[in-house]
This record gives sequence, structure tokens and C-alpha cells, in this order.
Amino acid sequence: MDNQLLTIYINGDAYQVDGNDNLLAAVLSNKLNLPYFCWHPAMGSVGACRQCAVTQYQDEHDKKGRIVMACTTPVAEGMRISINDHASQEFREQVIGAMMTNHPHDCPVCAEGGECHLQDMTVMTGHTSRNYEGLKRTFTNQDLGQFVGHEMNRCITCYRCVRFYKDYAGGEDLGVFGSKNQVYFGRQEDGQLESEFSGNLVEVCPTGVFTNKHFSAHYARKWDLQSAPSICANCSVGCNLSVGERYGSVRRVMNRYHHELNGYFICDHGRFGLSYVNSNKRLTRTKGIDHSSPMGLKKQDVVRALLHYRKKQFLAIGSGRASIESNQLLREIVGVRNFSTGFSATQLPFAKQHADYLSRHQPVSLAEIEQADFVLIIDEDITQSAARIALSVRQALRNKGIARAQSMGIPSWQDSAVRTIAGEQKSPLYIFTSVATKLDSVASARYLQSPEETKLAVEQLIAVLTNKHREHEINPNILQIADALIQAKKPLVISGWSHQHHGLFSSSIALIDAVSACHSNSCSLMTAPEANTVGQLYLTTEITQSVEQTIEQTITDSDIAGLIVLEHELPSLSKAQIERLNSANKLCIAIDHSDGKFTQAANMVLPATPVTESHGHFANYQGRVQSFYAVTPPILPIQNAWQWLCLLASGLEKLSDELTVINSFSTLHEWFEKHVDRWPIKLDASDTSIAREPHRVSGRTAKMANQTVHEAKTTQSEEAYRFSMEGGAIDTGDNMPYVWAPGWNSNQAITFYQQRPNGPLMNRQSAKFLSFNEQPFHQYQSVDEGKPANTEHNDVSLAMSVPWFRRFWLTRSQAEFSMMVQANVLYVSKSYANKQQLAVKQWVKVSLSKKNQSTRQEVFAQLMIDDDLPVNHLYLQADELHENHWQLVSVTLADEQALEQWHKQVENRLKSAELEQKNTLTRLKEKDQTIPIRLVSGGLEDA
Amino acid sequence: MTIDLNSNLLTLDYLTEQEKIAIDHELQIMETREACSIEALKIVQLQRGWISDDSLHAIAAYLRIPSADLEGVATFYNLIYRQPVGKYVIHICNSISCHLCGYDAVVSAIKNYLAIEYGQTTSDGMFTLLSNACLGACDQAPVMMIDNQLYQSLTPQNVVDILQTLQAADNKGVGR
Repeated sequence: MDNQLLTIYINGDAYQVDGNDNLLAAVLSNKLNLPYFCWHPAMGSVGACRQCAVTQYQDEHDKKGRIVMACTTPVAEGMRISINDHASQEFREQVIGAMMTNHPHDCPVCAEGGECHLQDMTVMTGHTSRNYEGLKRTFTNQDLGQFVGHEMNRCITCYRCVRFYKDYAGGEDLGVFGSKNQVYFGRQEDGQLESEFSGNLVEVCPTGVFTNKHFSAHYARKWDLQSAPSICANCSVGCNLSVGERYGSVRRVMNRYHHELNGYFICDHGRFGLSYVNSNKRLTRTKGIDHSSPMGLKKQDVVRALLHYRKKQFLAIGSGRASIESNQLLREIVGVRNFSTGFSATQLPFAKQHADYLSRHQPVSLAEIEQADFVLIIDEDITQSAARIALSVRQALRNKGIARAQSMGIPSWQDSAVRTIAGEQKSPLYIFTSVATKLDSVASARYLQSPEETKLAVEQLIAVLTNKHREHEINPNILQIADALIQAKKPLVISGWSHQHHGLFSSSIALIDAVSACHSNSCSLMTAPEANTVGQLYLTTEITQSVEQTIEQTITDSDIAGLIVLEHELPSLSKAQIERLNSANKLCIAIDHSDGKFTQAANMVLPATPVTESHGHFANYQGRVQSFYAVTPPILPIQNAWQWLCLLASGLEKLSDELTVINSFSTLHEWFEKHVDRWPIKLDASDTSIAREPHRVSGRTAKMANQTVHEAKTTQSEEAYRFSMEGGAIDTGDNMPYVWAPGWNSNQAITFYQQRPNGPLMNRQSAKFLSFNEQPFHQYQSVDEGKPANTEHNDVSLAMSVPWFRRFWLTRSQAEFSMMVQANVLYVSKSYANKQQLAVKQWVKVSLSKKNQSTRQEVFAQLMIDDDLPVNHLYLQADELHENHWQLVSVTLADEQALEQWHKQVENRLKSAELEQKNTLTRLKEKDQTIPIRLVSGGLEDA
Repeated sequence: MTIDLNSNLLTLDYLTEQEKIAIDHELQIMETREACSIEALKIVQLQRGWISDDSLHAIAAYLRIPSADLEGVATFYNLIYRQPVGKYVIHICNSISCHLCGYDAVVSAIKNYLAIEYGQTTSDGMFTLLSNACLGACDQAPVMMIDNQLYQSLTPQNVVDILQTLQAADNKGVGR
């Protein structure tokens, strides 16, 4: 529908409103205060809470009017309403009064206090004194797992939680039970919330029923948090985050509204997956550099340590975890030839083809996904690899029902009515997959099969779309998909790297080409493994070597003095290779923030900042370049990777001297602009200095008093943001460090910075994208991998089902995620089980080998039947396995003793993770007592 | 996070043929599967007297809807019992009209006579006391419903008579 502007009269004044809106959205889009609870800009209206009552008048002569609920009333031209008349004000005050009869007066101990929508609304309606003297209703709370705390007594039954969890995000394990005064929102029994979006309950709940457990365990009020705009570093979607810090440790992550990407919601990986920055695996000192002064590391110490290596040749490995700046700088230092973009030998062909795909197609944003009316997913479990995309796909499936409602004159914001009309009708979703996924239950059809089979299916689909097929040769299912695709107004094709099958990857791209040739309004997207993978594609050329090649060349090539590795854990690095690197006398330099395999092997370790302490850019799956800012300044000798790289350049006498004196992010960018071809980023001119802390922050002069009576100087930073409570207003469009508006302390305040609720931000900067048009890999064709080494199960393919919390090594190494144990299960077809003489629920030992390698692995799993599986395909869900590069060797009955031992191991792992979580919390709380007094964040010389 | 491996095994043989046929009939009539929730719960409750956890999971699996959704339906309606109930379930109306017309005295009389609180069943398994939000007979308040029979214009005295009549009828039935 077009945006039709109407004039309505609010309190007698004329306002312009969007004709498709309801009255509440219309009032809020004019930045007027009107309280509400159950309405949510992304979820629409149900009229459950009666809080947004206003008085509507017949015409200008009507003085009495009648009370209507703004959220369920469509706007109409010339409409007259009042929000400040006595009747509606009193009505709203009484609604709060009724809610307060059961709401506990526990704000001082509630984690929501200070950013509570219920508090804000109570103040706004003027309900300031307690009238009710009876008993309050009480409930028993539940343990909802690692992430979300539960305090049901605070509930005001707005139903937002189940509407988000069930209706919006498709979760099945949170429900609403009981009736009347005993309505309970929770699970049927205690247990981990299963949805990947459970953390959004914290923001969706208008009060403190659902709270962030990590945040509550180490708590600070919102007004005491120092925040900065950040980008999620855990997958390729690039959701915008607001990260909060207090006393030197990161406390929590909140959604930062982005109209085209995450909107109001992020996944749990984004919200809870940052804990590694507080972990004791963080690197805090250098290794392999002698200090000349007891006061700390000096620049000349680094230069001296590199004396023998001046002008020598180095190889380098970058990574999709590191920023565009760090990778580019590393590439300039060692030269294009010597720079690996961090892709393994298996990944490199994917990288080149992906770049080729990006040169021809612009992947769609999440907002555009929600417009699609046909979705085809090719063997990528987006619910786990890029969960936020799956959430948008769920919304796209509603389009058929929304259209049906619209044809009956019901606007899309009438949430409950639209869902009733839609019933089980959904826009078509077809899934080809090698593992069961959480989207399967809403798919029109789901084909569970090996990637090889899917490749054949995709090729058939291409043949149909390009009219190169003969009818009888095509599977009728494929014809059905093709029909639905062609009839759609906006078909969408989604795929990614997770299946690790080169042939399927090429066919998927060929399919996207074919779809875009026969359907002008089609769209597509490819997910990538890491936050800045697409940034790395931009740096990948024909001659780029894989990680394995680079390591091998470092060992064997006598011209190479050493290897610099930037934020890459090098999972493939073997003990033998480490020994050979050492015996060949190569200098191995690791620049990273967390301890890993390579930092332990390296002779020189330079502790770098994680995303929460650095300033830089990532390119998301679309090539969208987004900036993140430090939430807290690093404690020396920890520095931004690019600062270490400038020092390395100077010590190794690489590049111009100009580089050696670069001491700020903006001068680095000036250098790039001057020296780098096609440098894609132009820094926004930042003329304002924004305070990272709210103006109400407490303890500015007192929080260090136990260490010094002098007021410490504010840590200087040259970015747009200050490590201080002093600075300009937060109204900076895209890059607000936190959200706040007068009277609105919760994240709902975002409405006051949007053009209209759920719309673009008012001060939006234009999006920047990497351009792949000059990509050198024209129509890149990968070599099809040959069938690997002989195994007895040569004809049976095996896929891994990997949940989001096991995918990223930094995530799975954290205690709270190791405690999320999933059952090890091997899913097979009935005929496979019969053939192998195995029965359901039997424990089996699954032997695996790495593709094209001799590495072996054995895991125990319980056998389950999935009737949709073909006989020659299995999928395995096992805590120990995180990637799809395994080949099945054999499935045998598990030996009881070994099984028992394994169960014990799992138990021990849980116990030690529990202990670690406790210790981390104790350590962080102790650290609060001695806040690091930081003065400047300009690098070693400033210390 | 553990996955209950039993969930999809237990359910298929749990419901009787008779129950399945009756539910299938409802499935044919209704537009969506979840719309059959209430009828399916009633069908199973008719056979078994109440909805146990096992029954709930079995019905949810049969309807292919999340059991949390079905639990929401089951706990919303007063006439679906999630615990075993006595032979006679007393649904006493506790809405506003009844409150105004002497509900408090009536409910205390019941509680005293049977020595049970809301939600409890007498030790002989005869009576269960539950509240009900409005039985739609406000003009005859206070009211209650036992065994689909509506009792109107209750007083602390006549309500005890009603209970005694039911007890007597039952004793006779047993003696016969």
C-alpha cells in the first residue's frame, strides 16, 4: 500500500499521519507521549492492555467524545481525538492502577529498574500513589536456562512475550497458562528456552518478568553503563548492537535498531555471545618482547625485538574476525602475494565463487526478505548459522495471510485478526537440506537429502527455468517449485557455505543466475561464515593462497622470515607443523585478543582488542560496511590490531615512514585513501562529540576513590564518542550509543528517533557497500572434489547438525555455552537401521574421517529414526563436532565401558564449566574494586 | 538443553482407537488443526476423567501442535481438568453478581461441609470444588453447576442439602 498522508486533529492541533497506521502509531510518529504496553511496532496491535485509550470526537461540535483504544483504531482523514482530556487521562491512570494491584513494589531490586517501560508509563499516566491494600498474587518462578531470568510476580499480562516468542519467532516451548487473575507465562516445566531468540524477551517484556541472567549476575543500572554502538561479530548478518560497560568489564548487549537489518530483534548468539571479552582466556601481555622500562612496553621495545627481521619477507594470514582496516594494513605490509585472506583450502574455492556471485548480485537486506512471497533455501541451516535471517524468513511467510486479510479490508497491524484469517496459510517456502532445521515445520515442502542429491535437484530446477528440460525427465516436485517461483511477485533464494560441497555451491549460484534471468524481481542472499568474511572476499585475488599453503610455504621457503597471523585461530595447524616452524627458525607473530592454538605456538604475541575495545569496520553478507566503536578503552599493552601493525611496519621497515607515525584511526584512513587502490571506506565527518555515558551516570569522581583521591582525567579518544558523561546529545541516527528520550528510559524510546514507528531512523546515514564489480574471478569454476578415500560407507553421506552455540570457537569455549549440552543423536532412515541391524535409542559409536585427510574421530550417539531420510544419508548432532567436513567410516554398537567413560567426561566438563562460570564472576566482581585508571587510548607512546 | 527422545515414541499408541476416530472427525470439520484442541481434550477427558501429562502430550502429538499451546488451552478452561477430580465437580460461580448476592457465605458453607478448599477433592473421592467465571445466570445468583446441572438461588443451607442429596443418591446407587 502507498503511504497516504492524512490530517488528523490531536488535542485540537492538526497533524500529518500515515493513512495505513493505527491511531497509536500515528500519535507516536508525531513524537507525542501516549502510553501503551501490548502494542509493539514490529508486532502490531491486539488491544489487550487498554492502556492507549484516547477520546475520539464525532466532529468539531462534539465536546463529550467517546473513549477508543488508539492501537486498534485506524486513522481517518479529519479525525479528531484528544489525549490530554480528563476522561481518557483518568482512564489510563486507572488501567495502571489495576495493573499495580498485583505488581510488586520491588523496583529497587529489579534488574529492569531505570529502563522499565512500566515505570515510564506509570509516571506518564500520573499514577503516583498506592491505593490497593490487599494481598498480591504470587507465582513460582521457573529456571529458563542459561540466558533468561524469570520473575512472574511482576507480570502485567500484556501477552507480548508469547506473541513474540510463539507468533513472531516460531518458538514452541513458551506458553501462557491459566486464566483470570492466574495467568502464567512460562514453559511447561523448568528448562532451557529452546528458541534462538529467547533473549529478546528481555526487551519485549515491558517490565522485569524476563531479565538478562548474565547482566543480572554482574549488574549495573542502565544509567551507569557506558555504551557504544557496535556490530555483532558472531555471524555475517552484522546486526547492530549497543554494548554496555561498567568498571572495565562488558556487562550486556542490547539491540540497536537498524531499519534494514535487525530491526528490533537480535538472536541469542549476538546478545549473549560476547562473554569471551571478559574471559580469562583474554591475552593481556606481550610475549617475545623485552621491556626496557619497568613502566611498561615502549615503542622501541617492539622495534628492537624485530631488529633481525628488518626488510625481511613475511607471509601473513588475515581473518574474517578482524576489521577491514586491520586486514588491509596487514596486506599492505607483507604485500598482496604474501597475504592470505584466512580461508582454508576447502574454503578458498567458496570464497572465490562467493566474490564472483557478489559481482553479479546484490544480496537483499533483512527488511527486503520480509517482502518476499516465495523462499527457497538450499542446504543452509540459517536458523543456526545466521539466525536473524531465519526470523525474517518467518515474517516473509506471513505475506500470503496478510494479503488475504488486506483483501478483506483488514490492515496488517491488526495482528490477531490477520493471524486468524491467515490460519495455516503461508507463502511458499521450499527447503533442500542435509539436516533437519527449525524452519522445516513451516515449509511447503522440505527435502531431507545429501548435498549431492540437492545439487541434482538444483540442476533440474535450472533446466526447467531455462527451458532446457524435457518434461518427463523432471521430478514433479521440481516442477511444482518452479511454478511457485515463477508465479511469485518477489522470489528469494538463500544459500551459504555450511554444507561445504563445492558442486552444490556452484549450482546454487547458477540457479540464482537463472532465477534472476527469468524473473526480474527476484532476489537472493548467501550467508558467509564470519562477521567480516565478505570484507575478506574483497581482498581475495586469483593468487591468494589458502591458510594451509601459507603455513607450508612459511616452513619450506627459505626467503620467508616468518608468519604474521591476525586474529585467526588456525584450526588446521598441526603439532608437526608447529615443530617444523620452530626448527626452521621462523618468527611467528600472533596478533589476537584470545588465547588459542597459534598464540601458544607463536614466538611473539601482541595482545589485540576484541570488537568491544576497537574501532573499525566489518562488511556483512551484503557487503554493507558498518562501523563499530570501542565500548571501553583497552588497558595497555592491549592495542587495536592496526596499532600493532603500524608498529610492526615500523620495526620491519616496511612501507613508508608516514605509517610509523600514524596514531589515530582517521590518519590511518587518510593513509589508506592515499595508498590503497579501491579503498572502499570514507569516514563520516564527525563534528560532534557524543558522550558514551548517560548524563545521569553516577560516581564519576567517586568510583576510583579507593585508589586515588585525585579525579582522574577522562580517557581521551579521537572518535565521535567520548569516554565520559560529557558530550553532545545522543541523537546521531544510526550510531546512537544507547537509546533514551525524555520520559522514555527503556529501549522503546527509539520511536522518538524514527521517522515513524518501525520505520527508518530520522538521521540516517546512507549505507555503504563494497563493490565487487571489478572482481577478477569471472565466472569462476571450481574443480569438483573427487570422491575421497575409500571407506566402507563410501555411498552414505553424513551431515552435521551444529547448533549456533557450537559454531564459533570463541563461543563454544565459554563456560555458559559448554553447559548447554545437547543430546548426541545420529538420525538414520528406518531401512539404514535395519540394514545395519541397529535399533532406535541404541548407543552407537560413529567413526569419522576428515575429508581427504587421515584425521579420525569417534563419537558416541544415540540412534534415532527420521522417516524422511533416504537410505544413503544420515545426519549427526554431536557436541564434539562443529563443522561439516567429516566423512562416515562406520557405525557400530557402542562398547558399554567406553560409553560410560564418555558419559563421565561429559559430566566432568559440565562441572568444570560450572566452576569456571562461578570463578569468572568472582574475578570480574573483584576487578570492579580496582577500576583501571586509563588516561589516553592513543597507543603505547601515550601511556 | 536436552531433547526428550521419548516424546515422539510414547504418543502413537497412547490414545485409543475410539479416541482417535472421534478426534479425526473433529479434524475434518475444523479449518486448522489447533482449532481441534478443545474438542480433543474433551474427548479424552470423557474417557479418562481428566487430562494427565501423558494424555496432554499424546493429544498434542496427534494434533501435531506444540504441547505448550495445548497446555494453554487445557489450563484456560475450567471444565478441562489437569488433575484427577472427584465424582462430582462443583463449579461455583465467583463472578461479580454472585459476589453481590451472598457467594461468600455459600462457598464457606461448602468448604465447611466438605472440609476442602478450592482445587481439592474430598477424601472419599466424591466432590471437587472449583470456581467458575460466570455461569450466565446472574438473575438467580448465587449459582453453581454440578454434573451439567445448574443450581440457582443458593443459600448456605440449601447448598448443603444439595450436597447431601447427591451423597444419598450415590450411597443408594452403591447399595443396589
